[in-house]
Amino acid sequence: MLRVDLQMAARSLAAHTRRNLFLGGALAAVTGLLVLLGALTSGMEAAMTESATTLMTGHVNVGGFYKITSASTAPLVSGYPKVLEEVERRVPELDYYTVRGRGWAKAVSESTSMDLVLAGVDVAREPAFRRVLRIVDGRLDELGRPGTVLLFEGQAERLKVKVNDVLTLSAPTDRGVNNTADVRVAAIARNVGLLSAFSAFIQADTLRQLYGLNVTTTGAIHLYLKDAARAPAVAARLRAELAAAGWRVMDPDAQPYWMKLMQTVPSEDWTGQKLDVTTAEDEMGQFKQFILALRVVAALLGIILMVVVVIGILNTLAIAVRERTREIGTLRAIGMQRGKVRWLILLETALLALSGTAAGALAATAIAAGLNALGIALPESMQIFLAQERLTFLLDPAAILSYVLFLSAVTVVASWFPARRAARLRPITAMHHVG
Amino acid sequence: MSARRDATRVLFRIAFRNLAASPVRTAILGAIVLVGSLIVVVGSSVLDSIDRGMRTSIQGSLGGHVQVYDARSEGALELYGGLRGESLLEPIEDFARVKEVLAQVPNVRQVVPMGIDQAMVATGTTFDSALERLRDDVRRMEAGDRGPERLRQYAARVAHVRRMVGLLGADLDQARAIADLESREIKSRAEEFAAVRRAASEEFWAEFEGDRYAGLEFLENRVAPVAMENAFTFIRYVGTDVDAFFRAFPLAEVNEGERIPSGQRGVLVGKQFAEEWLKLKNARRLDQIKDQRDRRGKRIEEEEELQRWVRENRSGVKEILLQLDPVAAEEVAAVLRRALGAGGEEGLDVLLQRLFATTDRDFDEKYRIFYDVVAPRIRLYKINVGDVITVKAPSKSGYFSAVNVKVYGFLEFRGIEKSGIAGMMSVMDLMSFRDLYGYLTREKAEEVRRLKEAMGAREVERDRAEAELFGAPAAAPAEARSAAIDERALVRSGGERAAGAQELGSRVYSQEEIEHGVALNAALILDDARPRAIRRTMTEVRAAIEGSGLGLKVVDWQEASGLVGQFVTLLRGVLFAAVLIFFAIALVVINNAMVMATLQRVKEIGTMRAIGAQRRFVVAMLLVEIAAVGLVFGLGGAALGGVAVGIIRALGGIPAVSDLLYFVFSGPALFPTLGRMPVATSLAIVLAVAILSALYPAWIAMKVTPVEAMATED
Repeated sequence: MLRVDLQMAARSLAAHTRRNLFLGGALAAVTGLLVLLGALTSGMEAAMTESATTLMTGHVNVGGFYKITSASTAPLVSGYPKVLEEVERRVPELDYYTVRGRGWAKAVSESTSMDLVLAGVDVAREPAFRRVLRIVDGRLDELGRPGTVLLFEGQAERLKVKVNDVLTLSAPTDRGVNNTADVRVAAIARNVGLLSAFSAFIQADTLRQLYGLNVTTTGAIHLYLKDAARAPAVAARLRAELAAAGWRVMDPDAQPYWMKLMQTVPSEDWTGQKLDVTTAEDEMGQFKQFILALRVVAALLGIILMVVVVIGILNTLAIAVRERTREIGTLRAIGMQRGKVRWLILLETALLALSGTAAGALAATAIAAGLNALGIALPESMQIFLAQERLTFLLDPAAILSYVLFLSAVTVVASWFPARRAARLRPITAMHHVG
Repeated sequence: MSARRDATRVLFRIAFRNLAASPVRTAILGAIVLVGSLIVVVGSSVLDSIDRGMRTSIQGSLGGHVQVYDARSEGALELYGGLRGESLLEPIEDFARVKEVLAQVPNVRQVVPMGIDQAMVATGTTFDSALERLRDDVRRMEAGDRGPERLRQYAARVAHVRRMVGLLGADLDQARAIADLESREIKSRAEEFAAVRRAASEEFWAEFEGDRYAGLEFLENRVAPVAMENAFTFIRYVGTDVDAFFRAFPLAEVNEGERIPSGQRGVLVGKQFAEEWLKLKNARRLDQIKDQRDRRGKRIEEEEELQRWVRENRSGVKEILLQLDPVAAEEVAAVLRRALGAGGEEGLDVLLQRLFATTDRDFDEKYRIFYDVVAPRIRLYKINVGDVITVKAPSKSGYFSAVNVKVYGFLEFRGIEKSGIAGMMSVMDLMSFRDLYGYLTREKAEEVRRLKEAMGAREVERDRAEAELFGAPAAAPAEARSAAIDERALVRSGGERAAGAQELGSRVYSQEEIEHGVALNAALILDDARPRAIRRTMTEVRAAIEGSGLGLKVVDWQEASGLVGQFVTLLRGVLFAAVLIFFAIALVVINNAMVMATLQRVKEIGTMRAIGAQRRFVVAMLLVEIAAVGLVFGLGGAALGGVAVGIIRALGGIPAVSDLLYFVFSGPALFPTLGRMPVATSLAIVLAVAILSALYPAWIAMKVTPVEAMATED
């Protein structure tokens, strides 16, 4: 029975090629648009989150500040092995951790100079590095040797250095005196948006020596959890437990560490060590805001599109039913029941909607894949906000399926009214209809 | 003639009757048109206002109308800084020639030389200023002033310095917890630690009374450098011909102090920069709370951010305490006790905490007390007008160069005072810029290269290269002052610094000296700054450059603004795309609705045709219908847009929540204005879309034959 119905529906669809192509095309266009918009936002977000949580922050960070005097501040955790021990015991959710030095220096090459935010790393203990960093020259393992740095392409270009060239790092200390160190470029990695504009990696011991710090002092411990969503809960618990274990812990303040370093902590009265437990969300605050804004814009645009499209569908279907009044009248005359007519029209719409939206989704997927493959470079102003260099779409099958089903459902619901109207026609009037 | 008029009247009457006959359809069409025109009107008026704001900000602060820079430069000119630092520009070697050529181009009123860069500034520490005050007392005493008031003052200042030396000792112990005691640096500082220990001892102060100048010297040279405090900051500055700069940029004004005297060295520090980075944090936070309360109508009780600022202020009083010697501390405490109605036993730290524990009720009162009582006795800014500061930057060839310049005042750009982009900018004289930039002319560079080769360049440390090779900067060979300096020079006491700068500070350079030399870029100010005039002048400037072989690149102000300009282009692109998508969909929908309507009226149209209506008449009727809907609802949408703009203005505009927006809006909020152009454009677009979408249904209607139509029964 269903097969016959389907056949009939398909035949009617095929019979009105122009109109159905029109409606199907509109549905396809809207689906495609929504899929592309969604893929763009999630592409940005995914790229941003992945590069940021590898390069800049863990899911949860145990960092802190050390104040030698009340008027100075350094982003340090002193006696970190003990902190680490405590953290490992208290966080069963932990997947792995990395220990990072935090610093800032002017890099001076033969021809020019630029400011770099330095992260001291032990590359052998950075499992995610290989996944996120695309090395274009040199070898990542070289960064394990003392006196080496990893730069991003843009930085290397600006400084005009190649792998194995030597840079001078000049780090101002609290005393206004610059500590300097000569370092060798171990590797050059592909840019990853804003994050790679001014941050670079340096071998951990070299950074420590640049600042004259002892071995038990570092910048922060990045914790990577098995489930990233647990980060806020873990951070809150860790804050309380570290405080209970005798450390001085700062109140939660959802700002990246460098904002605290420059703006708030230097004017606080205390001296000595305080720990600061933050989440990736805190450290990436400003990026997240931008993503949120982007999502709101996309959603708004989506809603306006939806409303306009639903009106359009209603209209088109009304035309479609009208055009076929005579045909429906004939069907009714030869004995088809009202419910059947309604069902047939709904079925037809559903078929049209499904094939239209599916075609749109497919086309959008193809376009997105094509654009991804082309690797279109974004203008710099976009790079800042999107944390990626190239236009990247992330196609999420679940999201695409939901768009397809949602739009189809809307279309079918919208066709309910014209279908009802068609079913109500008296055969005799319908058969006399022209149109 | 009258027949045609009759036909037209009939046409209109039928069209309007049709619209009235199917109100639902008309409403749907109307709503779409209305929303479309609303979006266009509001969007374009906001964008227009942003455009205007940007133009004011950029043209008035740094950009001028057109910028030129050396065509061989690797990077593009970015007046407000790029992602990876300042623009990499090849220098213009002789600005005077550029000026000579470009000033000839018609419509060019002024050519202003510029060099934009960042530099490190030594700000001095609390310890430095305590020592300075003590030195002042000592000088007066040695000069014979031994009145009881002077002696009391002196005793207080000695006590203050001794307390700070004591604290310094404690600080050093604190540093041990994180320092690598085996490191080269710590070992080299053993002497410094010894010096601090000596300065903390009773014997030292007993000896101090014997030879005060020797004691002071020891404290200044051996102990003060150990003080660990953020003793430096960074400024972003434009080196320029100061007189020409103020003539060219009418928004620039000196907020405090005075302009740099003609031809002299000096710096005007960006006011906003000073507020944000040089001001005592507690004072800054009080200002911010006041600003939020007064301008935004926020309340401490309700806003978490304001509460945080109050909390931070309460837990940050040490910086103020350290600055007060015992006498000043007692004075402040006495006034505060009275003002806050506190008991006699409360110490100054408690009193200050009470002062900063502001609530909505007592905020204004406490704000006033702070600025009347506490502020005059402390160092409110790390750099004050009249100070001589040491500015240090890595020069073109990698070594650091430094200059001493006097701070003549704080610089502000009217209308965009709070913008973190323009307001961060400081202005310095061109001669000091050249010293910092340390550019070598080609001949000089060649000479250095030959020298280097002869000596084996690698063996010369970069820091000392310049001093060893020729000992003086190229730009101003007469004054051997910007030679590579000892790092320590940055933290040297103020007295020494002032002495060094005095001779240079008072020297007046001739206009010729200022203009004959290096600049990085030049701003052109035009008489006629309308977009078309700018484009025409740019072509002429290019021709002039071509003709004279200057090898310069010419860009307009928007391109020169770099990222900031790109951001606005991006904004415009997003709005344009949104409007485009919207109208594309609207086109389809209106088209559909009209097709529907036409099909519904096939019979009617057939009848009209049968009684003699021409096809043209039918088409015209449909078009009049849709045009009427477009016009009425388009106007309605525009009016609604006008109301929306009015409401936005009445609510205080679109607030500039970030520095970038502040700059883009050219003020604290954007007040969109309704131009005639946006309204006219939006109406035109809406009508065009509407009529375009009626073409297909009109075509359907045209094909209806009377016979076919009349056979239909509906």
